[in-house]
Amino acid sequence: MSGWKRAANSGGAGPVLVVEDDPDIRQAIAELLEDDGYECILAEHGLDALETLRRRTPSLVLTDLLMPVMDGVELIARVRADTRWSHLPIVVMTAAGDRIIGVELESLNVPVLRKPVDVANLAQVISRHLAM
Amino acid sequence: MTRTFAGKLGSLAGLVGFVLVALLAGGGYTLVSTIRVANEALSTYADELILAWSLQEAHERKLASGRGFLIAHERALMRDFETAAADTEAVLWKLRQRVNSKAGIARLDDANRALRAHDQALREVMAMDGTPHEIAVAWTSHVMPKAFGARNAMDGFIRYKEMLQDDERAYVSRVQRRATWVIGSTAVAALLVALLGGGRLFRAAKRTYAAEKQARTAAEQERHFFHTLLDQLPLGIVAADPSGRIIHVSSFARKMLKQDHLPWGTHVAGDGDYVKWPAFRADGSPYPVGDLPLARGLRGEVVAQEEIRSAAERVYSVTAGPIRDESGKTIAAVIALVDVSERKRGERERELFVGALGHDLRNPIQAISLAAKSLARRTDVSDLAKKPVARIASSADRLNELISELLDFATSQHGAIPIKPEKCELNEIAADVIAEIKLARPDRDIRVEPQGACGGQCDRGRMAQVFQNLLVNAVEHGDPKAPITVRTGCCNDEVWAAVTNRGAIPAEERRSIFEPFRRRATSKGLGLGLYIARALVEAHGGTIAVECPNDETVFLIKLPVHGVAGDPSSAARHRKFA
Repeated sequence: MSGWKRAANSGGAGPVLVVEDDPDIRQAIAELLEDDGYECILAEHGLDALETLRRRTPSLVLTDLLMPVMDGVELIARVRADTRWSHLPIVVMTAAGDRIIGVELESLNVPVLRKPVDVANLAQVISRHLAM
Repeated sequence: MTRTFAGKLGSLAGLVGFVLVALLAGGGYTLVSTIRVANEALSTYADELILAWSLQEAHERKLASGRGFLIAHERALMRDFETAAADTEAVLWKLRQRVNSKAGIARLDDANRALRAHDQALREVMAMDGTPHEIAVAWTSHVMPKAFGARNAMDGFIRYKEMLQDDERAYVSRVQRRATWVIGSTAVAALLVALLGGGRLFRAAKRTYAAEKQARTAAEQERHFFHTLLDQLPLGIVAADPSGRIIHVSSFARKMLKQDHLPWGTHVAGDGDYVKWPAFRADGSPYPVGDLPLARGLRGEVVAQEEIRSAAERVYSVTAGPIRDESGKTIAAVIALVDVSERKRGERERELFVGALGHDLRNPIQAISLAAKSLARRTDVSDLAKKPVARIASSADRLNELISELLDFATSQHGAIPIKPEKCELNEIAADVIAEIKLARPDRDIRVEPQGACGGQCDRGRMAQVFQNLLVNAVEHGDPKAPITVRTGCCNDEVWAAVTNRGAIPAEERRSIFEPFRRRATSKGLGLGLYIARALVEAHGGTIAVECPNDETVFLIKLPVHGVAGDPSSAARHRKFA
């Protein structure tokens, strides 16, 4: 596969779980990350993400907040509550303001990427949090 | 004749009649009581006279039996004498009890003395020893004068009494005559008054009545007008008196609340009605009974356009306040209700629209942007493709910006755009924005000139947006040969920033420059830049204005140093009513 740029610290890391309800954005982000050499597992919403987590543990969770069935806030809470996944780094992408679904974004204690996501920024943030 | 008019006439006549009746009654009473008293007196006199006559008669008997005894020396005559003497004593005694006038007593005493003198003389002669001739002489010279004296005295008493009787009778007839006169003349006077004055009284009463009726009709009409006005105002009006009793419910209010039940807040806590049909605030919390607008109005509070949700899920905008008389005392409280359920629904729908704009429209744009940028990073893309890919990416960005602008516009329509203030320096924010703009337009000279440092409170991102909008305008419309300057400073309680460029805006354009969707034919974009800038400045509790002195355009922003003071949307509301 020529033309693919490989990020410096990819390859060794596990897959990135991308949780996003909009299919176009989900695909686009996955392609971006794959371009940088990351393997991606995709999920449509929180519940889907939890089921995926049970099958395979990723090395980072990149999640939207406003999703049907189970939103990002609840997903984060459940992931943190489970001993299997409480160590997982989580990064949030959202178009929403500072207060969403009744909680302050700051209280979630996660790095937040504002949509529209800056491509270069995305890659940087992912690599930084994977390395931690 | 209406009841009032008849009443008036009746009361006037009653007054006159009362006076006449009083006179008549007085006269009649005087007459009657005088006659009664006189009759009593007369009967007393009569009794006394009878007694006096029996006294005389007893005395004569005494005299006769005394003489008889002297002549015949019969024991029986002596007994008669003693009986007569006893009778005389008895009658005298009775009379003495009854008579209490000085004159009467005096005469009676005279009679008493004379009688005693006579008795004494008689007894002396009866006890005399002597010849019949001697006794006869003694009788004539000794007893008879005393007998005459006694008779005279008694006569004197009797005449006195008879005179009193005559006087009494004369007095009574005098009183009768006088009373008859008074009653007669009163009756005549009444008749005359009735005949002569009646007509005038009648006319005067009629005139008074007509004037009064006119005044009352005018007042009645005015009252009716205001009552109708109040009742038919297309507002729900409910009024309560200070005790909380509802005194007025306009027909519009009744109609509005036919399907609903809204407690007026004048019930005592625990009232079944309120418990059954509670009311809620906009945030869903229930109203305690004492906090309902009418109750607060009664306490003197003015409630301005508060939104109440009823148990039937309708929303009302309620304004309430006290009604005071000239002395300042609260005499009632009134609420005006407007059903804003439809508007609330419209607002809810707008919120959903904004939400859709924010989320659902942006996602595909984000996908386009991501994909284009991802493409741009690839090395196997041909050079021919690079330009179109770049254009896709920049167009997607531009679309995103436009949607952000529209979102801001929609948000500002129903309230202030929410801002998150933090410590900031306006000149720093301006400098960042200028740096970014210069990346795209390195040919333009844009500089920041702080006039003294002053910290303030503002939302950095949003103020950056304001500077962005102003500076983009300056770049687009200002003289490209002259520099654009941003001066910042502070003065009293405010921090200010002035964005200046060469080239003035014509006066007519200046007037409507902050209005939405206003743009010059040459400019791109929606024309929301300045409208949103103003909305953001006002959300901070500040002001923005444009002036064009000396062929320059100056946009002046002023923000309160201590962040948003009070209600940020009040600046917008003030502007609407200015």
